[in-house]
Amino acid sequence: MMELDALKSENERLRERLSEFAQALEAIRDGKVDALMDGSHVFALGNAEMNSNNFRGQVLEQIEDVVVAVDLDDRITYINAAAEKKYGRRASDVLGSPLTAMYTQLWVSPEEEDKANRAWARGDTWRGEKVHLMPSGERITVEATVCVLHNNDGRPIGRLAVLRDIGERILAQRALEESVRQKDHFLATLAHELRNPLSPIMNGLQLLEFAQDDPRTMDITRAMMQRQLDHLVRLVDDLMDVSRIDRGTLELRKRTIDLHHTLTMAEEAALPLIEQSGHVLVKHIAEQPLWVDADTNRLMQVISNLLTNAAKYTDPGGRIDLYASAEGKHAVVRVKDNGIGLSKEDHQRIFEMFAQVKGGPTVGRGLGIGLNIAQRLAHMHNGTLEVKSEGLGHGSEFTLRIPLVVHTNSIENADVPETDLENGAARRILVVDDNRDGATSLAAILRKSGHHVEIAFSGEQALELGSTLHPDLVFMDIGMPEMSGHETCQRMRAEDWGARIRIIALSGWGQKEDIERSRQAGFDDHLVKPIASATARRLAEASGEHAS
Amino acid sequence: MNEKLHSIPWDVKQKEQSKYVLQLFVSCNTVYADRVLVNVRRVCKKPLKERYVLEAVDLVHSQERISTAEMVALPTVVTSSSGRLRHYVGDLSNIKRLLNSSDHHASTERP
Repeated sequence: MMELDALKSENERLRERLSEFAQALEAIRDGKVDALMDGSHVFALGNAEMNSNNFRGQVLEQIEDVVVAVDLDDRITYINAAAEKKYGRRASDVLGSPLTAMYTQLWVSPEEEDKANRAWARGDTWRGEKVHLMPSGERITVEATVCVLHNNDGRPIGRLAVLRDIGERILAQRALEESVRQKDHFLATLAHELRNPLSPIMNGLQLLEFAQDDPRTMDITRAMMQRQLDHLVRLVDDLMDVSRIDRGTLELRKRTIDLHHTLTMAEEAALPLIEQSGHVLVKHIAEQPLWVDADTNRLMQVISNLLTNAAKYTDPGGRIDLYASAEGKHAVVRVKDNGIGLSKEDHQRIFEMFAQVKGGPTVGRGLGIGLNIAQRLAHMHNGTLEVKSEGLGHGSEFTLRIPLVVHTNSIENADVPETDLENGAARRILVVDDNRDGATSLAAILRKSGHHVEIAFSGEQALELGSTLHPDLVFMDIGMPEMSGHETCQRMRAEDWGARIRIIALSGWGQKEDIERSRQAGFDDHLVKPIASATARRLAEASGEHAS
Repeated sequence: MNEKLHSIPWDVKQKEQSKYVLQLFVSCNTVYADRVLVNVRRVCKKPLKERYVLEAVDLVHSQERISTAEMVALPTVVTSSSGRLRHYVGDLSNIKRLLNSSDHHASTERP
């Protein structure tokens, strides 16, 4: 009995196997298989359709865009290698599964969904953006091209989507839009800020005309115009600095200096605004020298910027504390105020280009580039500039750190403070400029310091005057018609009297190439106009040493 | 031979998890292989819900799996019930047979 059951069972099994073989043969005949097995060998079959399919398959596999096909029930019928990589799923795991196994599609708007459905109903291709919500919760924005797939009879069998992640492109576009917005804002601010000092200067000019017999009004007006002009020059200087730093052409004239002198200079520069706003400046400055390797003028610019900012963003009658000391290996300068402080987001972006904080003065806010320059200058000194604030209304504290250097020999502080000019020896000075106002005003300043000054309005006149005057010092404009400053200088150097005197170029251009050209023409120095009267006087003082 | 089949891993898995194990043997990623996957999932989804496991085996890259399955052509889907193997050759575009067989398995093997 048992034997019979076993035989029956075996018989049934063989019949099943036979039926399976028959079906296998049918499948082979119908071309529904792509390989035959012989023992442990796999023989790949090829036919025209398969080769063509394989070729298309390989093309789809190799393109970098994601390709996904679905049937009419939104079940996945194909994904390429790029899709496997992008969505982290293997084809063998998701084929036949609903599309949601890979991602959930979100339409950007109901209108867009309508548009796509209408296109597909017509058998057209829809192109547009979609958001894919990944199983991980991540959202990606894709640019999709989706067309309807048809079978040989022309009946729709599903859809084919080519997808491209445009997240990076969107970010880049947003960044671009933001920078365009910033640029527009900056240009508007720039126009506003440049115009601000211009109107009082124009008013001043008219006032000077009407008030010729009122010396007091004239004095007040002149002082006002000077302040406005200084402000204008500062704005333009800042712009030039940004350009130089950006192009890497800003050169620091580093020397070993004691920070004390720089602090004094910065304080002097910022004091008028501090006093005008009724603030108190409290200094906590260490007595020992703070030797740093720095460009005094640039460091002064950083510190005065911090002081000026503190004055601007503190309500009148505030308190500003200036600290300077050695902390570890750094000289540390802190400027602390009890002003409007910084919100958390301003905290982050205050050093960015064109950053403007909320609150503060509505006029004279500047271009929003001062702190950006200050921080970059600090970095150029291998230092740092940081800000701390407990929040809006709680004041701000800026900290500048510059590495201390070991001061081996007691070099005299290279930045000799301005000497009392009236005590200096009188020099013979020649001022050359085709701009008569420029020439006469500079001459007037130098004459006031007791120097003997002659004026030439052209290169030829300068050579003629020079041969009789034998000047110690020449201030020469570069951009003159007929004979340029460069040519005049070269000719002067060829004269006996001109070979060893000090000749200084005055120019509206201060780029590296301009300075180099001046040097090649024989100039000792190159100054960018307008030059401060103090600088002109200091140069006049120094010129005697040069000539002797 | 049956003894050997009893020891194949998917049979063990089937008993432990009360899930149907379908094995798809293919040679590389061909159009047919993809089509079979789609067809199998389409067929099994409804009657079997989540109670099945589909394992795709590429015999070109997993030669060690060839000997156990008694196949003549690829793609082939192999199911197992009480140690007995059933083979379905081709792209399974005619899916009724597998469906019937699955239904049968579903009713007999339900825990």
